[in-house]
Amino acid sequence: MITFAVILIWLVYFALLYMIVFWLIVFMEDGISDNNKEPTRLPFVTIAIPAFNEEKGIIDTLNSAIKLDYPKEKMEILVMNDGSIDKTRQVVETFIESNKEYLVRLYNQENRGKGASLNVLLSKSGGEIFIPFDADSIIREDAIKKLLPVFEEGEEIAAVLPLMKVWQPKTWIQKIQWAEYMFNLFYKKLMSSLDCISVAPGPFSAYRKSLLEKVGGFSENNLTEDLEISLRLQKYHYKIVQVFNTEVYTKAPTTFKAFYAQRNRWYKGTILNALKYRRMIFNKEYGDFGMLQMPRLMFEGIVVFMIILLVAYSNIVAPLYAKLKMLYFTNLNILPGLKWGINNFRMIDLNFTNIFFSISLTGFAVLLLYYAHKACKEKLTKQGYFAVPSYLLMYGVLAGVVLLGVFFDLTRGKKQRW
Amino acid sequence: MVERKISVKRYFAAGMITLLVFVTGLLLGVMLTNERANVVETETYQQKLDLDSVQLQYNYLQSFSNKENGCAAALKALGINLGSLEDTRKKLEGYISQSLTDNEEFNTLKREYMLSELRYWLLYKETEQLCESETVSLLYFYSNKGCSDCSSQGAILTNIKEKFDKSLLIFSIDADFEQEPLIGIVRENYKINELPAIVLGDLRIEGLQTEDELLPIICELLNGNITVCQKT
Repeated sequence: MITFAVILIWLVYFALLYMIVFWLIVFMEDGISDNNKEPTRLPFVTIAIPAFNEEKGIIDTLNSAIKLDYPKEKMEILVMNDGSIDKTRQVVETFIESNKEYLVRLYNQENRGKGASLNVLLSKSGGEIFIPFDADSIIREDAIKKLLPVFEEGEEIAAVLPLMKVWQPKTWIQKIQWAEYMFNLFYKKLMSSLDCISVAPGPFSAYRKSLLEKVGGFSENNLTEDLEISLRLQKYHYKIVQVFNTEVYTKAPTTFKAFYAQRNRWYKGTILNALKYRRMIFNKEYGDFGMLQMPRLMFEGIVVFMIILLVAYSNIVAPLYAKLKMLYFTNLNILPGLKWGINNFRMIDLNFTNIFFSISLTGFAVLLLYYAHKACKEKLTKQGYFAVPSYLLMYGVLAGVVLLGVFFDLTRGKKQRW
Repeated sequence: MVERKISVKRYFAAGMITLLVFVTGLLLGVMLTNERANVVETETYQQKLDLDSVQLQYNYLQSFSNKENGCAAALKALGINLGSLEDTRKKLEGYISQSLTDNEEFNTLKREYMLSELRYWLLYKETEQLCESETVSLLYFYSNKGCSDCSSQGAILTNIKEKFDKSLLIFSIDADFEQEPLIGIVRENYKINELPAIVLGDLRIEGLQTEDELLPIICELLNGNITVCQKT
C-alpha cells in the first residue's frame, strides 16, 4: 500500500537524486578550473585576527601569517583581543616583541563579539584587501598570491575563498569532519560557478575592503557573521569565488560536545539569517542563488530533521518493536520462521523498486564523491579506511542529534544572541 | 554586479534524468507485481486440482465401505495440500502488503485462497466423522488491518506447526476480508470479536496466545499421543 511514509521516502529519494544529478551536470558542463596567473600588482593587505581566549592556538596562526609569501611591507597583521580572560594579550605582545620586522599590531577591548571585533579592525585597516583570519587556523604560504589574481578578474568580485581543510585530524569526530569538509569543498566549488556561495568561512576569506565597507561591514551579535556577510554581499549582487589552488587549515572540534556546540550555532545562525534575508527566497532576481540556495538554507534543516524522525520511526523503531515483540512471544525461537522463509524464497519476493532506488542513488552519490575526492587531490583513505565510511554512515546521526537540539532550543524559545 | 541567471536548462535536465530513474523504479515495481500475480495464479491452478482430488477421495470414501486405507491416504493428501496452500497464502499476503496499489488480481486470488481454506476446513470436519483421525484442526482468524499481535501470533503458530507437523492442521482466515461473505458467517458463528483468535476443537480463544498456552490444549485434544506432549 502507498502509505504516507512511503510517499515521504519517495520524495526524499527524488530530492536527493535530483540534487546529485544537478550537481553532476554542473560539474560535467563547467568543470573545475582555477586562475593560476600571477597577480599583476601587489596591493596592501590586512590580515585581521579576532581572538577571544586563544592563548593556545594564536602563535601557530601568527607564525603562519608572517610566513606568507608576500612582501612584509605590503602586509599588516591586526589582532583584536576581544576581552580574553586568559593570556592571549601577553602571548601576542611577546610575539610582537620578537617579530619587529613585521607590521603586527594588537588592539584590546572589552568582550564585544567577533563581528564587532572585525569591524574595529576594518576601521583601523589600511589594506585594499581585508582578510579575517580565525585564531584557530593555519594558512598555506602561497595563499595571498593565489587569491589576488581572482580579484583582478572583475570589480564585482567581493570575496575569494581558499580551500578549507581540517588541521591534522586526530579524534574520530575530527576525521569525520575531515571527510565532510572535503566533500563540501567540491560542492562549494560547483556552487561558485553558479554564484551560489552562501558562506565565506572565518579562516582566511579575502574581501575587497571597498565593497565590504560599502555593504556596511560585519553584522554584530550575529550567530554566524560569516554567513550573514555572504548573504548580504549576494543581496547586493557581488560575487564570491571559491578557489581550489590554495588551502587554509582549521582546527576542528575534537569532542562531540564541542562539535555539537559549533553546529548548533551554525544551524541556528543559518535559519535565523535565512529568515533575515527571506526576500531572496525563490526570488528570480537572484538567479540560481534565489531559486536554489536560499530555499536550501531556509528549509534544509527542517526537512532533514523531519525526515530523520520519520525514517527512524518507520524503518527502525516500528519494525524493531515488532521484531522484539515477536522474539519475546516466541521465546526467541525464530528458527522455524527463518527455515520457512529460506525454503520458500523466490527471486520475485525481493522488493525490486526499493533495491533499484537504493542502487541508483548510491551509484550517483559514489560518482559525485569520486569526482569530489579527485578534484580535491586527496586520497579517500588518507585518514584511514574508516574516515569516509563513518562520515557517510554517522553524519546523518550526528546532524540529527544537533538538529534535534536546535529544534528544541527554538521551540522552547531559548534566547538567542543576535 | 553579478549577472544573475537561472540555469533553467540544468534544472530541467536534472529533473528529466531523475524522473526517468524514478519512473524506471516504479515500472519495475509494476512489472514485479504482475509477475508475482502470475506465479501465484499458476500455483492456484495446481492447488485447485489438488482440492478436487481430495474432494473426490472423500466422495469415494462415502460410497465404499473399505475405509481403512482410504482414510489415511485422504487425510495425508489433505495435510500436504493444506501445507502448500498455506505457503502460497503467506506469500500472497506479503505481496499484497508490498503492492503499491489495491490490486484487483491479488484480491481475486486472495478470495480464492480464503475459499480454499474454508473448503479444506469443512472437508476435514466431514472426513473426521468418517475416519478415525489423530489430527487436531486449528482455525486461525487474523487481520492485516490494525492487528498488531497478528504477526507475533503467526510466528508462534509457525513454531507450533513445526513441532506437531502432520498432527496439526492450521486453517488461516483473514477475518476482515470483506469480499468473501462466507468469512462473515463463520466469524459470526464463532462470535469472534477480538483478533487474533483461534478455534481449537470446540474451544474459542481470543487474543494473543503463546506457545506455552497453546501446547497443553493441543496435547489434550491429541490425547498426548505424540512425543512433543510427552516431554512437557
